[in-house]
Amino acid sequence: MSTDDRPSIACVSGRRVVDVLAGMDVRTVLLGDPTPLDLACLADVPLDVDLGDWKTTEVVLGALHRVRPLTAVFSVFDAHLPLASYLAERLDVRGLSLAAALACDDKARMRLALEGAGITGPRYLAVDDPADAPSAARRLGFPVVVKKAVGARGRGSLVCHDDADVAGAVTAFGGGPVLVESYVDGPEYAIQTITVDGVTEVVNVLAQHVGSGPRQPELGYDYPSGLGEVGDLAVGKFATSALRALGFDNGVAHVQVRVSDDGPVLINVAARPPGGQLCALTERVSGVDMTRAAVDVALGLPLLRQEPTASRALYRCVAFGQAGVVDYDVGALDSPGVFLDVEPGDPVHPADDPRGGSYGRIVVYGDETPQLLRDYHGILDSLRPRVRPSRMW
Amino acid sequence: MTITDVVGGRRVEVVRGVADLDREAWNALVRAAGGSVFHSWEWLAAFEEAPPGVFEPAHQLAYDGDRLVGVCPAYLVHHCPRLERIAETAGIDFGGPVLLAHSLAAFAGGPLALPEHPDARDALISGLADTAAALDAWAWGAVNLPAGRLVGRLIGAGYATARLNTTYLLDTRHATVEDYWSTFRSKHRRELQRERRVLTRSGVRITESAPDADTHVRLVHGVVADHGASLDVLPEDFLRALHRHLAPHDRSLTAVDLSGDAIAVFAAYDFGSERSLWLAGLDVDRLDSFGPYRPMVAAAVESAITAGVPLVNLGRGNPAPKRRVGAVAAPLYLALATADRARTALLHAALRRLERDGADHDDVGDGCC
Repeated sequence: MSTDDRPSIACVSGRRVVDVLAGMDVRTVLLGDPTPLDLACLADVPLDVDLGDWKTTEVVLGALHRVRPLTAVFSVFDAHLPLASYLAERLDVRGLSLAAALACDDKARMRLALEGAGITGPRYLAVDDPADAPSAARRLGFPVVVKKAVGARGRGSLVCHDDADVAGAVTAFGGGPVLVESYVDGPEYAIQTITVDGVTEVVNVLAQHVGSGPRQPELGYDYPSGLGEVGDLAVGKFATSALRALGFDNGVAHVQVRVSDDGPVLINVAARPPGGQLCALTERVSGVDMTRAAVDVALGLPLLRQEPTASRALYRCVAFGQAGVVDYDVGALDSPGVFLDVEPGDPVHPADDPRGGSYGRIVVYGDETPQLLRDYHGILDSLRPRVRPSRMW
Repeated sequence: MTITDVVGGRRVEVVRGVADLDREAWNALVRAAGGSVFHSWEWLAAFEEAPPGVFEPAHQLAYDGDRLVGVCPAYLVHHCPRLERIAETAGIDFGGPVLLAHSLAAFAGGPLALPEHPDARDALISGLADTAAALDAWAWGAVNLPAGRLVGRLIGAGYATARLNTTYLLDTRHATVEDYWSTFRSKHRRELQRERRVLTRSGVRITESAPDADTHVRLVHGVVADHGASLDVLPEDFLRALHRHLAPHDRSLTAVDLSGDAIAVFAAYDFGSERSLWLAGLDVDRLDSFGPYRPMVAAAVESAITAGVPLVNLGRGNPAPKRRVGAVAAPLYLALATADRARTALLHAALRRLERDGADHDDVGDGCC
């Protein structure tokens, strides 16, 4: 007879979640394709399965569930949210609703669900046949944003100003279904939320800075948002309504909203903790570890909260304006708040290039904005990130 | 049999056959709600008379007091070749009959409500769920729903959905045919004129008339067979019943040769504000390709403009010539639900597969329309 009475959870996730689970009194079934060895060592049951084969994964996990019942199945990977929700519903355990997971995975589905509930989003047309994309763009009026309909993972979005741009975007996204949306002008905000049994709590609202090029690259975030208490409340309520429209019942989310002249417009909902260093930022300024919160929500546990340790944060992405080989002063890496994804000598692409993006982050915390700016520029001056032109690039 | 229920403050009646429907009241509601021939009493009558499978009618009617404010044709589907092909493509075994609003053969489905009573659509959807339980259906839902708020509400309510097809719609609100063509580049107009001249030189002319039922069936079945599809998706009796019942709405175009023989047909019907080009037929023994197709599309558009019909539904499949006349894609959705969480998850997975692997097949060729 087993004496292991820990709650049991199955997840498709990476290092951060596995570390959180390892620190909790939880039995972990880690599904991978395959499961990385270092993570497998930390899980109670590492399970190598074809994550694209839902039926077989259900059979395998179902067999384990019958022997040792699971409490929940969840994921923090965009790509595997639908699978995790499918498994949770098939095994009748806790998890994010499959309808919500699928809506977050498919932009057209998301837009429809929001439209159904009267939540303002960009005007849009879903296009199955790429040949229909230019006429859809003309119907909406340029500029438009062309998005890969399914599996964009945050990188399948291009602003287009004419037919040629649209054709290029469709090609760049592999020629599959796309969503054509009207471009929405206005400041952008990122809202972190936690939803338990259909009730959503707004954890924080961040001002998000995006670039002006076709890819609208993420450039940074500020906390507080600058909207003030009333403004934060308004965009938070808007995000909460959007989650309700999607059938979001249990999970954490990273919601992006633009505030246009006509009011808030829902840009996207990611049914997972925010990426980059935004989890760490949220923990510092709001006292909530969003990854831990995702686990707590999945298991139905009370949320773990701590006192915030900073009242302000300034978060800037390290991006480049040209292609080449990166260099910087490695000594600056010892400064707190510096996170780089590239080594000196690595190739980089401009932020607007589909292959480019953010190559690191500098995040500083404090209680006064002038000090944050001084700290940030101090780090930047010591890091001196630069790009050497390279014939290869 | 009539079942009465109160859903969301609306009285919803379930009627088990067209004989129990007030034809005039039903059609008036469909027209006022913006519906097309596919929701008409005549379409339902033909479907009931010669169904392409085994279907039990379970039509929903929503009332505000004694006033009819919404309708939703529906069938408890026991056997439907089209639905079975969808199930096969989606890799799901429906464990019993499915209550469907209403037909995979149509270009439109689901509830219709008077503009001033939009909530009647929600009541009708709830009514479908109640009827499904009463009739012991394995699942319920609607098919060929146009993209829009209703589909969004169903997604939010947890229905499994899939983009099943794309139909092509053309706004024909032009004062004259010349006004319409003036919106195109001259090169495009010249190409069309050349195609028309070629057709005329070959002795073919396009007439605004329907062929007789025998010819209609022969030409439509010719195309179905030529696509390698089974005739069970459009059985002869079904085509004949529709030909007869829809005659008052018929606006078909027929291409005839020098000897007056029909060699191609577009079966088209006017109802409400839409002309629906439902089926194409071709004499495949005499023509190895649908040569008259593009001139017939253009003729259909011109005919609609002349008649003052504001919208032409050019139907599914064969998108290129439809785009050439300015039609725009309009996705059609399938939405299904069950009362059981695990079973609904199966539907979600299946419809996701269908959307990714099997949707948007050519109408007749794959029978998935």
